[in-house]
Amino acid sequence: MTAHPDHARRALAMLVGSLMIAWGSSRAQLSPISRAQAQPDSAGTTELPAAVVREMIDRWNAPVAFRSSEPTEIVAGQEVSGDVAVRNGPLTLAGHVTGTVVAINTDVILQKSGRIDGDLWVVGGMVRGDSGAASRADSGQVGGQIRVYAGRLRYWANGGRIIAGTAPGEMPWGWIGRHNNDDQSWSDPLRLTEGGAYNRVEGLPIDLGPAAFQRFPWGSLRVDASLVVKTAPAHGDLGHDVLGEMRFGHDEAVGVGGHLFNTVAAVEPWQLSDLEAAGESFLFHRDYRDYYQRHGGMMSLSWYDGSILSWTNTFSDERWASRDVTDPFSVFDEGKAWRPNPAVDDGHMHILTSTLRLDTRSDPVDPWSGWFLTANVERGSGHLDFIAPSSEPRFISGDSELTYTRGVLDARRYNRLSRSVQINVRAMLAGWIGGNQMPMERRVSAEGASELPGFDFRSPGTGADVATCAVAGPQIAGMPAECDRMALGQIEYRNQTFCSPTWWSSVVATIRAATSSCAVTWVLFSDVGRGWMVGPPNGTMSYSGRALPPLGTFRTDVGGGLDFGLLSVYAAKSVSAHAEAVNVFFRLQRRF
Amino acid sequence: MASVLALSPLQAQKRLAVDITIPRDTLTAGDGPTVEASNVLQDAKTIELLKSGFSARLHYRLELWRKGTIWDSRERFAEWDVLVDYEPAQNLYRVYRKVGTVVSELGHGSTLARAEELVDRPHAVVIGPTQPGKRYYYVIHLDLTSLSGSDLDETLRWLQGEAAPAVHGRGNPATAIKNGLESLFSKLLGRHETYDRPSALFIAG
Repeated sequence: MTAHPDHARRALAMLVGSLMIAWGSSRAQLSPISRAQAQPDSAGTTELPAAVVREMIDRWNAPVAFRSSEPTEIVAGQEVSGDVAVRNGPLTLAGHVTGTVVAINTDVILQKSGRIDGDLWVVGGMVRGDSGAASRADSGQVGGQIRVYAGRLRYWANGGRIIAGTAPGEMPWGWIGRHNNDDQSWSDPLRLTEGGAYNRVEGLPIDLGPAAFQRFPWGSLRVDASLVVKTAPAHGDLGHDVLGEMRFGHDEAVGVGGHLFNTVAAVEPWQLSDLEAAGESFLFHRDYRDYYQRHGGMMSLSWYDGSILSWTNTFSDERWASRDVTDPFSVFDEGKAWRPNPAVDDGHMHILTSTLRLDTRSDPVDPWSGWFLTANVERGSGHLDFIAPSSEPRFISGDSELTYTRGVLDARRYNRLSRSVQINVRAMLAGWIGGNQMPMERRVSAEGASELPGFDFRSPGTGADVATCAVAGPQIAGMPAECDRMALGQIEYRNQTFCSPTWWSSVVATIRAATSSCAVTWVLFSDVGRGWMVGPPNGTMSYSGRALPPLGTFRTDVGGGLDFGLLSVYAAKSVSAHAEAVNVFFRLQRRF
Repeated sequence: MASVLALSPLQAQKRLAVDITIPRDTLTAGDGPTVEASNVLQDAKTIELLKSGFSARLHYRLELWRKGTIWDSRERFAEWDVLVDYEPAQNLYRVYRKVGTVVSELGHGSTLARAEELVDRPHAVVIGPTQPGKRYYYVIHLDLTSLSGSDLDETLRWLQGEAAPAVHGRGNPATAIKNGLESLFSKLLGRHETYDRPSALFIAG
């Protein structure tokens, strides 16, 4: 299996060529001046003396003729009557300054025609000539003293003034603020980020647009407006994703939000992480999700209690439509046909949801104790224009009204038994609660690497398919999830060896080094689950609304593996279907 | 009596390690261990990224766990960060520690050995048990990352003097494209290592 260079170039060209460029850099422009003689005097130190810090702060905050916080140019022929102060430059000076020039944490490029009648003070930068080098031969003239300090000035901005040191109550490390956005205001005039997982319907969705988070004493405001560009677009395929939320309060808060969207959404997004789904698609030409188009708007009302508890209610008005497979690039099996993306019910829907989330885990990435609960109820009503094909007859037809209620409950408990051992359990129930049959984009299944890895994904077997609820007969393109309900139970035992690998072989040590984790965890697990339809009981696929199928009809598997931190390798074997072969699979995150 | 639990590094390869030193066999609420890292800057890729201008960030989380009848419970935890930055123009390594909102410079020097010495400086954490007679232990988590491009911009902006930058990513679309691509591929370009280690058991006094 090899990658095709032409396809790789096509993919890269589409990625870059799809981005819209409509920006221009800005630079302040001033009038030119004439030449004077330079007398450099550099302290050449890396630490700023306290007196210099005070002097620079005072000079910046003092009334000046011109002050700038961006790249600045005083062109030849321009004259500034008074002092000039610049930070975040550089300052390119080809004109005339009658006063003093102060440059903070930036270079000063003094061109041959440049002239400063007063002093030139530079901290955290250099003085350079026309050629860009620190040369006297091609530099302008300075009538006063030139003082250059290599050490940078630490300050924080408060309006137009600067104050030396670290802002009180502020985290000076912007990168930590960005990892914890609730604590620090930020804004991005033009941000480029991935807009979802790489998939067979749109390739890589790329969000391009401004975003900002502003913290106030009473709460915060978050705005994010993106154009969604795809690397494998269908004709005229350009999406948008605009959202905003105002929160009143900080740790305990009420949020009011709005969302306008035209995006591609996954039918069952909870099965694999975005990274894993994207990796499978991009590398191995295997897309484990199904997709549909959502176009509309939504309002939300939320309540947050720190990061532990949240309750979110939404109302949306949206149009749903099917999406066909395009032909995105993949590293392996490029040129092979993708699994068809199943058709969904097209129509115009109003969706009301309520979601409760409780998270007391000791760590969201590597939890050793605590609960993680998600409970969601959704009521949808609207009009369907097109009914997607299914293996069983539908009780609705095209151009019909539809009202349904669906629930999803995902409960996980993490239990540390000792310093190195934990046992974790998960129970999941999802599906129809009431009303009409659910549209296809709301149907569920019970299979996949994250749920029942001992069984192949979307593999047509014999007998009743309790994974997707497809009945015997002509196979529906893409083999969509068709179940009204699903139930899943998972248990795993984890035993971590901590960084004392004296008995590991060099091969395992190499794997650990490659996966950048010192600890290795042994994992043993078992899963049980199935899907079913709600209707007149027939003993195999359909059960009444109040009944649970017998446990003997559930799919069961067992397995084990090694978790190296960033990468895990497992093997799983079906117990309930002996003919199924052992599946070996990799995960980039915990099983649940 | 001190209780020390240390890593045995792989032979012929100095691997990242963290020691948790418990001052006595019995601790009270006002006590706590000392955490000391070693071989933080010995990895070739970390050094290469440092020299190329990518700062190294160490995020520590020290957890206090109480032994239970069936399962253990996390009672308290403390977090702090250490940042290592290299300025090529000055040939200078700077090391900072951040605890809560307080940032302090641990020192600077012109050699990697000096930077390692600063990073390895022990840090005492007051995080003691609250239930006398119960058995406890500590678990240390360490995340070592070399910062991504967009994170680097933030770091550089602060190190250049703006302690609370209001705007980032400004400029022409090429800058946005560059930042975005760096962000998309930062995990491949950068470095990320995790370290987990429990301490010995001790009794709460």
